[in-house]
Amino acid sequence: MAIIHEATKEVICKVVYHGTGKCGKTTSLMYMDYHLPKIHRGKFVSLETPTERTLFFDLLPVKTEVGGWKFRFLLYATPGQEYYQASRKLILKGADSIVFVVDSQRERAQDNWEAYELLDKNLRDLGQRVEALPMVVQYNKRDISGVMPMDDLERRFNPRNLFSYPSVARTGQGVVEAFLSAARMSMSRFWTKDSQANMGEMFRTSVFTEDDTEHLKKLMARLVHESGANGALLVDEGTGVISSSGDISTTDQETLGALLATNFAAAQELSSGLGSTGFTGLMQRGALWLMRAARVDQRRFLVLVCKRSANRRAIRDSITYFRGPIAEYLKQVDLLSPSRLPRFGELFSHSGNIALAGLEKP
Amino acid sequence: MAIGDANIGFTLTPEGRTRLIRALDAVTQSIPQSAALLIDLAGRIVDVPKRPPGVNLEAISALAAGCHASTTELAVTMGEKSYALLFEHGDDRQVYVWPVGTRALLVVLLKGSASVEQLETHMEGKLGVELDAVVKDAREPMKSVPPPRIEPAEGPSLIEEKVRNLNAFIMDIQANKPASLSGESGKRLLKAREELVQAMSHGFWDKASAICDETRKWLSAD
Repeated sequence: MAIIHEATKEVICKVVYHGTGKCGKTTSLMYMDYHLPKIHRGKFVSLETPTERTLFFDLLPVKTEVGGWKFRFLLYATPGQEYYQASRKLILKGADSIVFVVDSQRERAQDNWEAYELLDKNLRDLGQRVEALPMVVQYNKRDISGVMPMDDLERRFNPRNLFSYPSVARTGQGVVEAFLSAARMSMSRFWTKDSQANMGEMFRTSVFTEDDTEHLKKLMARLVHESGANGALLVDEGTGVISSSGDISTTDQETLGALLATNFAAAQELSSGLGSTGFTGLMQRGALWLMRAARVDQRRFLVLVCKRSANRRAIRDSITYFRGPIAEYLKQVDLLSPSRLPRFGELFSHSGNIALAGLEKP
Repeated sequence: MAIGDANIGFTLTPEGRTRLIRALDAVTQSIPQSAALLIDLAGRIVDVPKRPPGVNLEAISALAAGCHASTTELAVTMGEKSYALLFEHGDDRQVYVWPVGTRALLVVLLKGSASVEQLETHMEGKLGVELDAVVKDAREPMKSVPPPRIEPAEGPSLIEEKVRNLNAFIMDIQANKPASLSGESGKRLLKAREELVQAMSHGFWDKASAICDETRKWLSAD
C-alpha cells in the first residue's frame, strides 16, 4: 500500500521479490545493495537462519528524488523455503508491485509453478487478486548451461504477457532492469484508471495532505504527553512509519518502521495460529527500553517507546484511549484518498522514468 | 534427536534430549496451564513434551523465530543488546519468547493467571542454566546449502552507460506505447535482452555493445 505525504513531498512504495527457494531473490537485493550509489539506498537488513537462508525477510530501502519529490521504495525478499509459508504471506501485505523470480533450471520448473500458486493463494488470503497487482517476471540463472529456453519459460510462467527480464543475479545482469520496471509499475497505479478500485483494502494508496500530517502529529504529541512515554510511532504494516512524535532513540526510522511492521504482523499471525481472536498487542522489553504496540485499524498500529521503569498501566490506557480518534481520522483519509490521487497522475507519469533512471548515477 | 536439514541449528544427543524434556516439563509443571517448546533460530521445533491440540506448531515456531530475528534487529536499531518478547491476547493469554544461549528459543504459551514475572524468575534461575547447558552441548549440523553470494561483472563504463540508456529508452516505450512491445516485438526484445545478459555475464563486451546498438535501432524504427 503506497503512501503519499504532501507535507514532506514523499512517496513510499513496497516492492516484493517472490519466488521459490534459492531462485535468486536475496542475491538480487544483495546486488542492488552493491550496485546502487550510497545516497540512493538505505541499510540492507537480512533476517536469516544460521546458514544464511532467508528466515523472515530481506529488506533494502531504495530512494531517489525528482522535481522536489522523494520516491522511496522498500524492497522485500520473501523466504523461499516452504517451511516459512506463514511468514511469506505477511511480507506480501501491502505490496505495490511484485518481482516474481523464476529459477530457469529445468529441474526447478515444478517448484516455480508451486511458488506462483502460493503467491496467488497468499494474495487471495489478503483480499487481493494476483491479476490486479502490478508484476514483472525475472528469469534468473540464465548463465547456467542447459536451462529452459526463454520461449518455454514465457509459455509456462507468463501467460499474462507481463514485462519479463532474463537475469544473472550473481553477476547482476538484468537485476536493476527488473526492479526499475516493477518500481515504475508501482507508481503507475496512481494514475491508472480504476486501479485503486481493484485493489484489496490492504493494498490501496493513502494520500496524507499537509492538514492530515499536522492533525496526526498533534494527536501523537498528546499521546506521548499523556502516557509519559518517550516517543510514539504510527506505523503502516506495508510501508512503515506514517507519523511520529517525541524522542525515538534512532535516526533510522525507515528500518525501524519496517522491523516494527513485520514484527507486529508476525505476532498477530502467531496469535491467530493459536486460535486466539483477542490479540491486543505486543510488548518488547530490553535493558533500557520497553516498546508496546497495539492495533489501530486493519493496516496500522501504534507503538509507544518508553523507559523500562515507565508506568505500564498509563502506557496501556493511553494507547487504548488514543487509538479510537486516530482510527477515526485514518478512516477519513482512506475515504478521501481515491479522490486525491488524480492530482498526482501527471506529476508521476512524467517524473517516473527520470527518477528511476537517475538511480544508478552517483 | 536428529533433524536432517541443512538449515537446522543443532542436533541433540540422546542424553541431551532427556535433559531437555525434563527441563521443559519443569516449566509447564511450575506454571499452570502453560505449554513450552524449544525451537532453533531457524524456527524448527527441537522438542515439545506435549503438543497442544489443534495448533500448527510448525507455523507457530517459524513465526516466533521470524519475530525474534526482527526483534533482535529492532533492539540493535534502538541501541540495545536484545529484547524479550511478549504477545498479549486479552487479559488472560500470552505467548513469551525467551532466547536460550545463542542457538535456540524457548516459546511458552501462558494461560490464566500465570505471570510473566513468574516465568522470568524460573528462566533466570536453575531452569535457564539447564536449558543453556543442553543447547551448548548439542552438535553443530552439516551445512550443505551454499549461502547467496554475488560476483559482480562490471563492464567498461561505456558499455554500462549504453545498457542504462537502452533500458531507459525501453522504459519510455513501455510507459508511453506499451502496445508496441506486445506480440512479435515483445518476443524480439526478450530475445535481445537474453543475448545481452549472456554477453554481459560472460564479459563479451563488444558483443554486448553491438546488441545494444542493434536493439536501439530496430526499436526506434518500430
